[in-house]
Amino acid sequence: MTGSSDTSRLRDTAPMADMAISGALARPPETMWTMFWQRFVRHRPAMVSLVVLLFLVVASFGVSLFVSEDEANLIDVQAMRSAPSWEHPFGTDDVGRDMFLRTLFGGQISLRIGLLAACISVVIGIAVGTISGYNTGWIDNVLMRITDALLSIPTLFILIVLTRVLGDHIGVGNIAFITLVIGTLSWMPTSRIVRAQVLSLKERDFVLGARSLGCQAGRILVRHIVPNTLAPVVVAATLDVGRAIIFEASLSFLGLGIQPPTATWGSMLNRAQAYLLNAPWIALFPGIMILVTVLCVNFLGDGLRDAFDPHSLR
Amino acid sequence: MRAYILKRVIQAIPLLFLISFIVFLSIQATGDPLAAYTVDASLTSDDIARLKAKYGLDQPVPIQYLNWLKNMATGNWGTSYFTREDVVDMILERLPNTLILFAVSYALILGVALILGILTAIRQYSLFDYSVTALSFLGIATPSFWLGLMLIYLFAVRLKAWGLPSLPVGGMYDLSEGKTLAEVSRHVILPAITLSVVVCARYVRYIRSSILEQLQLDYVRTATAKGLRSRAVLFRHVMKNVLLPLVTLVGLDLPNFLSGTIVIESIFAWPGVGRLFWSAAERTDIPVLMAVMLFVAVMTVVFNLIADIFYAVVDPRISYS
Repeated sequence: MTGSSDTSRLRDTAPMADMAISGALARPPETMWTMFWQRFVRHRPAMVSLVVLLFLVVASFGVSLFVSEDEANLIDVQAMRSAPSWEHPFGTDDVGRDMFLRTLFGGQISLRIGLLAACISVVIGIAVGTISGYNTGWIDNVLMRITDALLSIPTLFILIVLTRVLGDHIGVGNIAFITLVIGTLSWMPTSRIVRAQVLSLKERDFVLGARSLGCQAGRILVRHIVPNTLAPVVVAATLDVGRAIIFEASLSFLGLGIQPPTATWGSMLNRAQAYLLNAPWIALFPGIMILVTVLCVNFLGDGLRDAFDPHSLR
Repeated sequence: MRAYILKRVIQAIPLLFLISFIVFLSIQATGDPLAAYTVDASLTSDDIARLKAKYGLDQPVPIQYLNWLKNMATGNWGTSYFTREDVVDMILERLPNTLILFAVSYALILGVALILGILTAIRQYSLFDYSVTALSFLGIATPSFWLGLMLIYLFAVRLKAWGLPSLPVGGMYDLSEGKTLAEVSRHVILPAITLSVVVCARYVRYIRSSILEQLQLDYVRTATAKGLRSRAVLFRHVMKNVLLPLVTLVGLDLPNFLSGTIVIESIFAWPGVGRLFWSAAERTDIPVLMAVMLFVAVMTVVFNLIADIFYAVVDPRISYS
């Protein structure tokens, strides 16, 4: 079919093409993940945030190797409300506990609640989103109206009622309970994102292909549709982590969250307002930790968003 | 147009039912409402049964829900366990104070966010743009209650200690001065700033990216090509398209704002609905808790409905069918 001139040109260029191919093979092959990682590394704030977050995790969980939690919660009336010094880098609180150690131990709980609550929220969000996106009709309608309703009731109001009222039965300050409640009240945005993705994905040819091969609905969802929604979900999940940390801090600040002597960044701020005049450092450091953590988590989300987007070539 | 409004209103009704059901379920989760009475040994089981019948607690749960709904619909929202006051009166008494806070906060938010958003967009990638973007990332990550504490420390505690004019640490007015306009405005500054920072930071980023997106569109090129000055293009054409979605955004933000008022009104002792809710939570005053929860949820739905309708009225591209 091709003319002779075409084949001769092909022959001429063949050695060069060979060289180009071998040159490309000299580098490791570009898979989706290596490209993803390259784009992520280029996002300077996200990389710095990742390092800071890893440092925070190592510091707050590693402190347990050197100091026991009881030691960190040791009350020392001799050293009440002493200002930051070499001995107490973050100062001491109103009963003389070392703020630095408590901030590290508080980090364990705040970070754990943030991560676990985000996981719960993502799992529920994906489940509700896929089910309602895949089944149009009354199931979709019911699930989306529930989502709307939960979005209409300001979250902190339900959180306070549940922790306050159920806390009497389950025990106020139960970490697992608070994580669960925060997680089950934050899935709505994720479920909307997933639903929108599923609605468009299920019309694609690869889903039709899978269906014509006899794939069952459950397998199509789990193997073909859900993996394709993960990019925006991961970004939403990072936002969930930040939101969960702030929710826990607000609850504990109000005195409904984790109870003393266990430290979290929110509960350490609980009585800080009363000592603003004489011991402002009590209010300063836990808040800065929340700020830094949430800031880093948000930057991380920003970096992931750019890295997942193949069009972003910064 | 009228059909569209009617349709949107009708769509909101099942939502309201669902919300009321969720609130009712939370009441059910609180356990036996007569638990306080059963402690009293002088009450026989007959008395308890009579009390149950009196409050309709012997009925099946669905009937209880319908009865409760009827009471809510007829304005009978119950009385506080502690003050014996009518819950509706309690809410209405504090609502204006929360509205003052809301109005001042949103005036601040929209004013600052518009100025910064426009400036960062027209000076994209300048030092100013980078600093504002960095600051807005900081603002978004700030826990507002902590910001409140820091602002009290700086503007109330420190300024006063240095003998400079300072702002009050909390409350709505000094008792010695009375509830005058000057007093209330002095007291509203700190809580309003605290509530504004996070939202304002988000809006700056939204307005900036929205303007940059619009500037790529063809109508901007047309306007520039016909010889309009860039200022005219921005304010007469671009801003219209940027501002419209803001209406919806403000509507969607209302639940977050109301959540914020619980903590911020408590810190600043601002006598609003959020603080009412928090003091009721501290005393487990269930009728008040439920009423405020239902009230804010209904307010959110109505506010979003108004935002939607307003959007449809203002934007000629939306068809009403």
